[in-house]
Amino acid sequence: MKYFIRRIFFYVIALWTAVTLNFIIPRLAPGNPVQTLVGRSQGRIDPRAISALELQFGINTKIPEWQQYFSYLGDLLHGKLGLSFEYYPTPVSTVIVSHVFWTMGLIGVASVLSFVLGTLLGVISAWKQGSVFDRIVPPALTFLSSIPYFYLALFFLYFLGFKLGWFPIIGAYSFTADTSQFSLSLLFDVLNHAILPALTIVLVSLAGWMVGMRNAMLNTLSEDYVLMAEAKGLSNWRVMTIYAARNAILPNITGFALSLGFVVGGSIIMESVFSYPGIGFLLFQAVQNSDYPLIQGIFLVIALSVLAANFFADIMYLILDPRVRY
Amino acid sequence: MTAQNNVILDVQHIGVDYFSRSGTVHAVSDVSFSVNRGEIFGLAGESGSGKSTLAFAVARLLKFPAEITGGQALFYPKTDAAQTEPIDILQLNKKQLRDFRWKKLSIVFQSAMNALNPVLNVQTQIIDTIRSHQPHLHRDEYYQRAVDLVKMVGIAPERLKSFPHQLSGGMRQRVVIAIALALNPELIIMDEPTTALDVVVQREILSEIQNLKKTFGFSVVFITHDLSLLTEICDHLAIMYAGKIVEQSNRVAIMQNTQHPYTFGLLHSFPSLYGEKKQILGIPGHPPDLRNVPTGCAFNPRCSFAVEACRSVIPTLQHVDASAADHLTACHLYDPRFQPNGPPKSLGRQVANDDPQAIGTDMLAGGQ
Ligand SMILES: Nc1ncnc2c1ncn2[C@@H]1O[C@H](COP(=O)(O)OP(=O)(O)OP(=O)(O)O)[C@@H](O)[C@H]1O
Ligand code: SF4
Ligand SMILES: [Mg+2]
Repeated sequence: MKYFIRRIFFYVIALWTAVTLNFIIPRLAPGNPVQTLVGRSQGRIDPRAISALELQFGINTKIPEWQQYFSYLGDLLHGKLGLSFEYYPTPVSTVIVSHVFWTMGLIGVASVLSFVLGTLLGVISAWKQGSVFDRIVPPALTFLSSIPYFYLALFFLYFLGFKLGWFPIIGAYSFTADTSQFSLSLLFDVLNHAILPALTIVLVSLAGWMVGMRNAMLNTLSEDYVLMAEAKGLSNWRVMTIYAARNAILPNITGFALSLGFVVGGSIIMESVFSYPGIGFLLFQAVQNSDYPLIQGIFLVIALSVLAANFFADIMYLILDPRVRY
Repeated sequence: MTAQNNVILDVQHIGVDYFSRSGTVHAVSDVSFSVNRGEIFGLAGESGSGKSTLAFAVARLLKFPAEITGGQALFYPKTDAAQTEPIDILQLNKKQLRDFRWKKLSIVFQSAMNALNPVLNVQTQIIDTIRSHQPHLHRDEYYQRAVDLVKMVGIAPERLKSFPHQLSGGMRQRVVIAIALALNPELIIMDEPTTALDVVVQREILSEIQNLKKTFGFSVVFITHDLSLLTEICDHLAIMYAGKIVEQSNRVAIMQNTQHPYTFGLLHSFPSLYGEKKQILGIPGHPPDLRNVPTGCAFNPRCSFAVEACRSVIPTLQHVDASAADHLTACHLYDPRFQPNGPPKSLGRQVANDDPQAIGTDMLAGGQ
């Protein structure tokens, strides 16, 4: 429990730091970002947007910084992240929420799949060390994962999507799909659009999990308690899962949580290649359009998701490893 | 040893090699010994002499790169000792082996620290042992067995819910012993069960083992590098050096009539656990690298008695004293070819003068 309280304390501090940095950094930026924006937009920008932006970045106001800070915190508590410049006057929070769903759904599921599959393959490969499986699968997957993601994704897009036409090549659903209500055909449409991006993500990240798990598993298999479990007469299945794999997976959980944390931030390339309407694609566009409020909001979401993923890892540790529980 | 039905384990000419890139290691070569029913048989030797390897070979627990190169290990079960064939351990198939291990022969691993799964509590690790051999008991029966077992080794049943890291070293060792007892085996191999423990706990565990042995009548192969400890608890013992047994006898003969210079050195390497403090002489030098064992007697570079022949001729286990039928020694000191004037008297006499009272002082000898 002491461990748990210490961790909670850590998260509170980390959260506060992230939020505060998000407040400070735009204010430290040299020059006047709002003027730059206005200049670049060539008058297309709404004057109300300009004053909203100035308020958000603390330009041309008499309000002292500490008051700005507290009203910023207060806004955050209510989920207010300002208004997007690009999608004006839609609030940043609304824009983010509508995109984050796709990213979490696609990359989140793909990452979990990749971790589970990679871990399973690693367990089997270590258990059957030296077998044909063990000699072929890890090197093959490692080769796949050494291809830069961008090329792999383009390759799949070109051959499976464009040439063979097996999969759609753009977006998260068909332009013609009726998205106003849930239907089975919509679900299939969405899944069909998700296969290629998900496949590329899984292929590229699988080897990492597999090799990591294989090594951890080999270490664990040489432990006395595994040999003793075998000597005690336990079934191979129990020795492999409860005695070896369960202990071997512990060091990989942190890595997995970190990768989950980067789901939101790390999706830019994939979503650009597949024109997938997720957070990465959104960030890409926001940067191109200098949509500062949106960028700021996305960064905050990324920071939060890293923290949330770490928190998740802590919980998993608590469940799986009794040694940290006391 | 003559009466076959008194023997529970008979090991003949067993050899184990480790294959490694830097050469083949003959970790155990041509080792023979037998263990009588109900006795504690001791196996002593410095670190790396092949004790654990030998124990693992007998329990069929060796893994690649280790390979049993030859020999035989026969196990004579209690119930059908007189009539039926003994169990030929090295010939058992997987299924037979799973049935044999833990029911007939169990093993206490060298380090209790690592022998328990850190993420499972004590109860789980005891019960899964029983369940894998007796799958159809009721939950309460498993639990009751677990309670009985921990009580037997002197642990409060509340501790069943504890995880290994919450237990002291001595308690962990007791848990490991409880697990070894779980299926009431006839023979338990204990690989340095007390080495990592402090002297007081070591003493408690030793007397616990002896009490349990009295109650349940199992036999023990007790492995340690502490020869003086062995001489206080064992009936028979064997001393290993560089993968071979160099001397073997009953404990009184080993102490009063030490024949091998290495045994002599070992006996004077450790302060006695129960008896008075002895002078610690130790043995100069280091155990040999088993990939590159000295020619002749492997002990010759460290032996103050070494003669020319020791560097070229490998000594074999022999009866060197006609009056002691169970005393075997592998040393040229007792070979008239190399010692025309007979063996030097000093080795034997010195030990005899040092130790006669120590033999009487131990409270534990009651093995019979
Ligand atoms: N996997 C291995 N590969 C190569 N050599 C090995 C391997 N395991 C053990 N050995 C060698 O076999 C010899 C015997 O080892 P073993 O563990 O049986 O010794 P031991 O008498 O039990 O020592 P200790 O008192 O340290 O437990 C050692 O010299 C060791 O170097
Ligand atoms: S054979 Fe020679 S070297 Fe070996 S123990 Fe005997 S005297 Fe020493
Ligand atoms: Mg050992």
